[in-house]
Amino acid sequence: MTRKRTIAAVVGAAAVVGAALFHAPLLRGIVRSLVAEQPSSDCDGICLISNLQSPEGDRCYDIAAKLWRENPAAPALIVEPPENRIVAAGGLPSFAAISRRELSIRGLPDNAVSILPSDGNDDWAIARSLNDWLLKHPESVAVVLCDEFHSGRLRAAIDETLGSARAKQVRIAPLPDRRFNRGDWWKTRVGARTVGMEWIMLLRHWLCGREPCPLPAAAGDYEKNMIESWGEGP
Amino acid sequence: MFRRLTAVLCVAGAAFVLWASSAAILPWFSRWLDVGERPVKADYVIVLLGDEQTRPFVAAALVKEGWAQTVLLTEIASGPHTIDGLMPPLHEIARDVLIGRGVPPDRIVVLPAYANSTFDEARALNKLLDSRPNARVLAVTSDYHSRRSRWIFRRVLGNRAEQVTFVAAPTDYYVPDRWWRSQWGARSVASEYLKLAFYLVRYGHLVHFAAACLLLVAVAAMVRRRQADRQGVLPIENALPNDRPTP
Repeated sequence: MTRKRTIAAVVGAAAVVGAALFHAPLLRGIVRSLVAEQPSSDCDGICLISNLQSPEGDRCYDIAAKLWRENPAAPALIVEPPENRIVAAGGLPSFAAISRRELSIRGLPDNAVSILPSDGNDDWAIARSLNDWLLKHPESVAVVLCDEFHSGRLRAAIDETLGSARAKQVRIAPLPDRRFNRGDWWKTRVGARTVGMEWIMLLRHWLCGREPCPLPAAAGDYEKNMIESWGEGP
Repeated sequence: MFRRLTAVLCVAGAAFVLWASSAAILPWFSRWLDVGERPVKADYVIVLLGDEQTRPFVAAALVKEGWAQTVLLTEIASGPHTIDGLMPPLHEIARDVLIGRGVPPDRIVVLPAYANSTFDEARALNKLLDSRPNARVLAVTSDYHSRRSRWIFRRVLGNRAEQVTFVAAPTDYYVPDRWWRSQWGARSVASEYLKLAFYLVRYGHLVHFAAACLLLVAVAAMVRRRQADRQGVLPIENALPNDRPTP
């Protein structure tokens, strides 16, 4: 019993020392499945995506403009989700309008920007939009600018939707958040929280796959449903 | 060997039962988070910032139907997209939505706070209640966020939290009873539970921390006792006197 305990204590201590010495490579390894990365040069389209009005990928417009300057024949492809209530109520311009404005500030002419309409707000809707574009441009290669830790999940959705042959025509360029990246995510609270959530999301993706994302009701219907649920007025 | 096989079978059986009954169990996780109530007649409706797609619309409906007179928004700290000039601050987006939905601008008040969290919003409301101690307030937030918000408001406002009624705004892009099937549902519900756990440890009462420690100690003691039983000996400190070799 005493010998067993000694062995357990030595193994435990060795594990702690090992974790302390090699924590950086271990923690970098944890996020390997979350990140997909392919070369972004030599592409025929630079794709910008949005999730609920928040442009994905830190400084995505700077990167898109840089890629366009390297190859002005490659247009910026803006995946535009269906109009939501905030846009309809005048709270925000649409993602396409924000993107056009930002790309124009960075020197892209109007004819270098194309809109890819999307029928939903999830990764599969983005994949379907890209599929439509690739059907019209069968020899082309598109690069998608995407949040670094979201890129693995988006890659999986694209592979599932497009099939192996066409999925090869889509590359992912992961854009690190300005506050953290795969080499130091554990040093900030927001980095640790993002990695934790993205792992949960990736596990959910593997276990549950996809279910069509219900589109939101129009503002008037949404308010009407609320009022009905409250019953009689004050 | 037989014992190990039994244990593996038990774990596999439990996993199967959990998987088979997941459709009945998992909806409960999102229902538990929603503590929204029917609104009451109030002086103010405060819109907790975030989910601008839903919350300001509920506030607009409350004002237009006469449940509340004035909408309160909290000035919010700038995020990366605001700093880059891509989007206005969230309170300005909410204000524009409220105006767009027919709330007169003079019935919208922005509380100075530079808020970063629901705690900051509760503190801003607490300040307002210093000058209006009898005011009744409706707090609008997303359904999955209502339990944590209520907990935070109770922590910050104390007895004054009785003056606040939480009205839940239904979330778009997923069906609450099938939240795990959608990426937005999974993100909202899972992150909410993680935040709740973090808040209980970080900001909770000492009793929460003590209960968690006691539970851990109890589990450790049970595991140790079970190990000792399996080996057919008493824990070492009790066994020593009888185990000593006789000279």
